[in-house]
Amino acid sequence: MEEVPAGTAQESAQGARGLRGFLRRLTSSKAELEAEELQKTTGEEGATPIRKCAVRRRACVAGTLRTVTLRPRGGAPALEAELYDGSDAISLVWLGRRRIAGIEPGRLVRAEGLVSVQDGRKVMFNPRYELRGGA
Amino acid sequence: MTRGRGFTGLVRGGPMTGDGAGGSRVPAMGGDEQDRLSVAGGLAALSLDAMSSVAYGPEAIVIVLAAAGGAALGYTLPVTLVIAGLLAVLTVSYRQVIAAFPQGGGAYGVSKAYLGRRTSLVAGASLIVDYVLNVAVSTAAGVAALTSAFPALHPYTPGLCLAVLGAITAVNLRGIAHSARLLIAPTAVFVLSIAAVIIVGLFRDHPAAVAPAGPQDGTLRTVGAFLLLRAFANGCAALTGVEAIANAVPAFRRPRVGRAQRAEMALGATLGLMLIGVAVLIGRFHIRPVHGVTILSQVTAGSFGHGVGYYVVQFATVLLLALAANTSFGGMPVLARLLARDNNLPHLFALRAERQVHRYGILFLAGTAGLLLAGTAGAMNTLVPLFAIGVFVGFTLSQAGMVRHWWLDRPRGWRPRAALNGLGALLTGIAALVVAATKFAEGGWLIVAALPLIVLLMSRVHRAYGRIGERLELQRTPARPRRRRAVVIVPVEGVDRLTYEALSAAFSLGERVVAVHVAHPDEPGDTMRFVEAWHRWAPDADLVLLNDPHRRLVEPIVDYVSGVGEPHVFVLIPEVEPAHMWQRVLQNQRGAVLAHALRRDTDVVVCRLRFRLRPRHAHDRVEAAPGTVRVPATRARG
Repeated sequence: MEEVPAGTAQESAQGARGLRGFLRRLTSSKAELEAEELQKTTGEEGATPIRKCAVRRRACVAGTLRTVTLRPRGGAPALEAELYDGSDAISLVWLGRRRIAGIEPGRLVRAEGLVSVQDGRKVMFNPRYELRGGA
Repeated sequence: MTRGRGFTGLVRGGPMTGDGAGGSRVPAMGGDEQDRLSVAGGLAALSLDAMSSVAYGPEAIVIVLAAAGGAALGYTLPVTLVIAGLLAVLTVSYRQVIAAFPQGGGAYGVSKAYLGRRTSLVAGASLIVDYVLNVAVSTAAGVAALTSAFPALHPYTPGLCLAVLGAITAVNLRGIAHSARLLIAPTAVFVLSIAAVIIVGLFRDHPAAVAPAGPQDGTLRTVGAFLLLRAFANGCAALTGVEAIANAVPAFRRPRVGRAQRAEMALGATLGLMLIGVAVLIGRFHIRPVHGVTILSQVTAGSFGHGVGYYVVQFATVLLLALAANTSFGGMPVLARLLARDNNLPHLFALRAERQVHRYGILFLAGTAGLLLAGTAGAMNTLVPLFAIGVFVGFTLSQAGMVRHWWLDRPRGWRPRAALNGLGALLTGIAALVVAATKFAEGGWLIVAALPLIVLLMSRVHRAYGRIGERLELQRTPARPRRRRAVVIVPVEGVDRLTYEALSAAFSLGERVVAVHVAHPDEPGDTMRFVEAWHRWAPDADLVLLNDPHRRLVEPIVDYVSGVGEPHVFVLIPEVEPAHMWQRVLQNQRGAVLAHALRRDTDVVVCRLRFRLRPRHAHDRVEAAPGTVRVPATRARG
């Protein structure tokens, strides 16, 4: 722990140009491709794109689990996962559960529940879920 | 030239002994009175530039007049007398600068105090130009003196110039201890030998030896006012260096002002007498410019013949000029520091301890002077007028600043003093304009262009620092620091001693700790084993599993970190620091790559925790590892 970002602004300005910038643009287009692919599955599952999910409405979403957060044993049990469908991400929170078999990063999931917003992010508490094939 | 002469800064900043890189000419400045300069010592140590201009000043006059034919050479003495008159005005005005700025004036200081920042930048720029040209001119003049004594060397002038410059640069890069006493001898030898040349010459009716004159320009042209003006302007280069003492008042013994004033007067008188004496001899010996032989060399030969005395004078000249070139290397870093302190140059130059900084200054000086020397092929007479432009800009500004000083303070009897400084400003200003105008096509444009460029550059730097200061809210009391919500993110790869160290440190940093593990969907077994080990260990931290189907090195973590919307985000990167250099190849450099990517793409605080691999027993002695944690400290992480 000895380095603090003193030159952040300068370095990020440099990062925008040159070969690195070119590579990042390449990867970002890859990310776009991926997003398109995911959105296709949304259509196949007959789910709503997360971007279009209205708050305080029930919705059915489908996508891959981008992150899964396991809470420590001491605190209140909750399992949280972030579902990404290419249009937006939504947090799925299972209160009272520490682990659910199959809720793993990379898993394709279809979830249904009431959409709410916390700290500017979409959240679905205790959704009904279905695990679909592998990643 | 060397107006920022060093002593000001040196005295303020404490003792300079040991600072080798040419920073000080007179060591132990911060010490007791005994180490400070007497009148004679100060004269010797500070008059190098002024005295050395005897070597090229008269020549600059003769070269202009000779273009108009032999008759015009008769005007050498009158022109020199005018210049000597200007010297007298300047000397007396600088006597007043000494009294007004006992802490050491100088064009930059005076104009900053009385003429505003913008004008002081012009002064600073002219000083930088002066330093560079002083090196170039002194080197070229020194080599010219050498080749006059040994004509066989004349074809190698450019090479010799660069070699001398290289030697001076090398000495300064290496670092030398300067001492005033060391400088007394060469200066004294030079002044005494010039005095001997003049006195002996005055008693001679015919020159003892005459240089073989080239084909004389027979056509007699009318000697116009413009020609005389040009000769005057060219000869003004002889006045360079008279301001040096005014900068170095704090280096004198008490009473500083009195001693410095006496030294200044002595300098003016000596320089004036030498200039007039040489001019008289030029007229007496009917000396005209001869290719490859300097005027001073001809005058010396006229007095002494080509005996031992001649070579003594020539060597004294060469040595003095080399030392005069060297003064720039001492003065430049000091000026750079003053400029940097006022935010006109990168702050790097304000660091005193860093020898590296002097090195940049020295190399800059050597590089630009080298370019000038190479560009002019070491032709002294091309360089001298350029020198005069910058010097006179500085003179004018400091004199004008003094006028303003008198106007603002108005002590008793301020009017005549203000008039004197005003006269000085007027005369030097006119001289600057004349030199710039007459020499514009012959390289003067270089200086005329360089000055505003440097000023522009420095004001750019100043503005940039101003903006930075604005953002940093300098000069203002910021709000009280307060604790905000913070999250510490720790990328973990396994559950081991390194993870233990990292999470322990993370808990000390903030209350909320999130461990992040990148999971690859094509290796579900690995992820499962990791999650099981994590649950066995059960630290009091969230564990976030990131999905990464593409096995990218750092992007998943960077993406996750940039999505965390907390006021304070720390990312603590655990790394293994191998015990031996060669073991470095066993580690991947993921920590460095991640740290770099995070700095580039996010504003989080990046902390890198180094886990030093020491022999195992040493580890156990320092700190007992908790039993539940496996300690694969020597496992190569890959």
